[in-house]
Amino acid sequence: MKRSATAVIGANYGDEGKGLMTDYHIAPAGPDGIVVRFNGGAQAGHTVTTPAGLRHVFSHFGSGTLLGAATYLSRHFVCHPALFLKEAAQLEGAGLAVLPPVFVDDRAPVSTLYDILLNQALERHRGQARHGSCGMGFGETVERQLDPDFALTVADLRQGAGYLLHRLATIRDRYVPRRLADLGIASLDAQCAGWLASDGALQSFVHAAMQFRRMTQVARPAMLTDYAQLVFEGAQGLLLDQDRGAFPYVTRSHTGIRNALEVAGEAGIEALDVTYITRAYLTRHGAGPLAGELPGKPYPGIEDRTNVPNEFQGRLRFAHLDLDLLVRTIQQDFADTMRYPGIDATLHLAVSCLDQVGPAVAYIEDGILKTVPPGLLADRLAGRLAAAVAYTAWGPTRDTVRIVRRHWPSVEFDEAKSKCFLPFGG
Amino acid sequence: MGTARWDADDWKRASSGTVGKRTEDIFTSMGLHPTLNPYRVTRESRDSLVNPESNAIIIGLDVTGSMGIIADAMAREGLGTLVDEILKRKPVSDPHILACGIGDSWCDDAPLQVTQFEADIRIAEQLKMIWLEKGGGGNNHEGYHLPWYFAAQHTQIDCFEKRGKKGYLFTVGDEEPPPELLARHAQEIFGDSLQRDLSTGELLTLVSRMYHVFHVVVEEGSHARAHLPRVLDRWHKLLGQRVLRLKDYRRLAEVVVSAIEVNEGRDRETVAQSWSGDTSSVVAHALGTLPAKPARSLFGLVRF
Repeated sequence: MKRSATAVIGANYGDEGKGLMTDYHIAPAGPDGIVVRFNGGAQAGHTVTTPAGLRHVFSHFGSGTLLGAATYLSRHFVCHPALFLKEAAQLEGAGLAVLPPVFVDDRAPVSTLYDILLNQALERHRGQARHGSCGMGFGETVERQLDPDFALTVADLRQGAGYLLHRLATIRDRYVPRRLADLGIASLDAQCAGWLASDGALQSFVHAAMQFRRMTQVARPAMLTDYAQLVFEGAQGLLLDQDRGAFPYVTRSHTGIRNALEVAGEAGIEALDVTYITRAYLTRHGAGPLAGELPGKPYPGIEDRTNVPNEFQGRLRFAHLDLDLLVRTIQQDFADTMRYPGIDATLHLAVSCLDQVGPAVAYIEDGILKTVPPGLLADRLAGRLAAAVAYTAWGPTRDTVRIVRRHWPSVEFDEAKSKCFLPFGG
Repeated sequence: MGTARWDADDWKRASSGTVGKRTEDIFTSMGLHPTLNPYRVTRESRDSLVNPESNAIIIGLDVTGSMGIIADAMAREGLGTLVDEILKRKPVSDPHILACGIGDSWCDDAPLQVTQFEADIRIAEQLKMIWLEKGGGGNNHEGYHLPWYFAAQHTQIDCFEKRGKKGYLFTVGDEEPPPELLARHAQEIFGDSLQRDLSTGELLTLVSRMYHVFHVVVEEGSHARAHLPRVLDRWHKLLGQRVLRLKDYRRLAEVVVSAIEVNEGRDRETVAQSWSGDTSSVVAHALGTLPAKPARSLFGLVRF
């Protein structure tokens, strides 16, 4: 019985390196570990690269899968059967002979093909005024779940194909027209209209849902403490939180520690290390405000194979880290742990992509652009957050992660010293 | 449904598209098709101007793993022959045919798939939608009672409602009858709330009010090949003489037509001899247990 756990939370707009840190934390336990997804859904893209060179972008499976760790999809995770199957096939293709078990809470919402349809129709309708959606129907799923007549959960999948077809036909016939009217979409283009009318599309969705049901097991919170290592893997980032981000360019999910605390509470977890992670610079994929946005990559060493430009999100955008904003955001989120006095929470920090910035990294503090050797950025940030532990990642794989545990310098860096570009010793 | 008349040429057109294709190509469906979903639906066989004296006939095909080949044969030629022969011989007038795909209510995604009652080529189009799930479990039985329940509770047939004449229900497969219909399965498959599980005997009583019920044991099926005496014993206990033994699955249509004819009062031997060549002996083998001339009961509704 293990009563402690670790959480990984993205501190910005996503793409911070949550996959990397989840992989790092679960590695000591391997198949005896379990990764909990507690927010978002399959629109996540968490990249894990193994030291051996295997690379996978996780969306529906936990980022410990390559190490054999189980996945636990909590009640707050929006399931997407078709994407689950697609990813399962990718993992099998990558040489994973046996997929580790996947547990799903009966209460978890399920995305349907009509949510994807509505999502894509809406983003096309918006044209240039897009909200940065991934086009996978996540937001529309959350919207539909608000109406009990049309809500669909994993428990419904367990009722069988006939029942599911019946429910989906109701969504198609009664919900979709109403929602389109609410959104002010008078007519669908030929592709969307054909999709909506297709019985075959409905049929394949149900088929996928039934396969999803067979490939997963029923999740119970109490089982989480049976594992040697438990990692809560957050999705998106704190700046995309539905309540704290800049509406409407947000995701309909609590991206912070809140949902993880709820699941941890149900499981009887007593101690939780919360690792907030950021890149050494700020990125945003998709529409929405990005303060101090740069015209292009701030460092020539930046390479990103996960965030390829797509129709719905465009290309990856960049800015320098604003330490004041970052500290405020993290502290505000970590304050949520006060609501769970039974869980002893500790704040940790991780900074990734430090290898990409060259000898010096720029950041903004007190409205001033400053430059330091990359290692000192992590020190500076950890000091301001009073983080118990800081992790620094110097590459895409877990073996590049260094752990730093010490008393952080609380004094301001000497300006002259910080410009010396001292190589950060490991 | 069932407002048109079957045209033998329709079948030729439909089946010409299936010649030389593998089972998987004909049954392209992946998953339960919405139009074949029995959840909360009723199927009607109604008299019309074209079909003034309709007769409902339900054929349930076992589409589990060992039986995929039977559904295949039915799609290629069996059903066409069946309709052609019924029209030619007129054992019943104006046949309306509904086909079911039967799976396993314990382990399949699509334990039952049902077409509409059709009197024309549309039945062929719907048969193509039937998903050969190739499922089933190691429980020695398939959901043969599901068409029974569906027929009893979810069909409305004019032959019975207007003229007091029962429809026909044939199930075709190689395994044994299941012990009961679980209330949970009835909820999942049909959306019906049953207060308790129903035994297969109870279901038979229920469906026999409206339908003549037959079962065709496919002796070539992999289960029947291994356990034929047990399979026959279980079916005989349930259906008595209305168990038809099919030793050549390609003759399913002829056997079904012959059983209807005998049940409608024609002589068993004459019926068997009316088929040519090998078919005649296959039919004689199948009809072996049917009474030569059906007995008429004096006591109102009886099961057989």
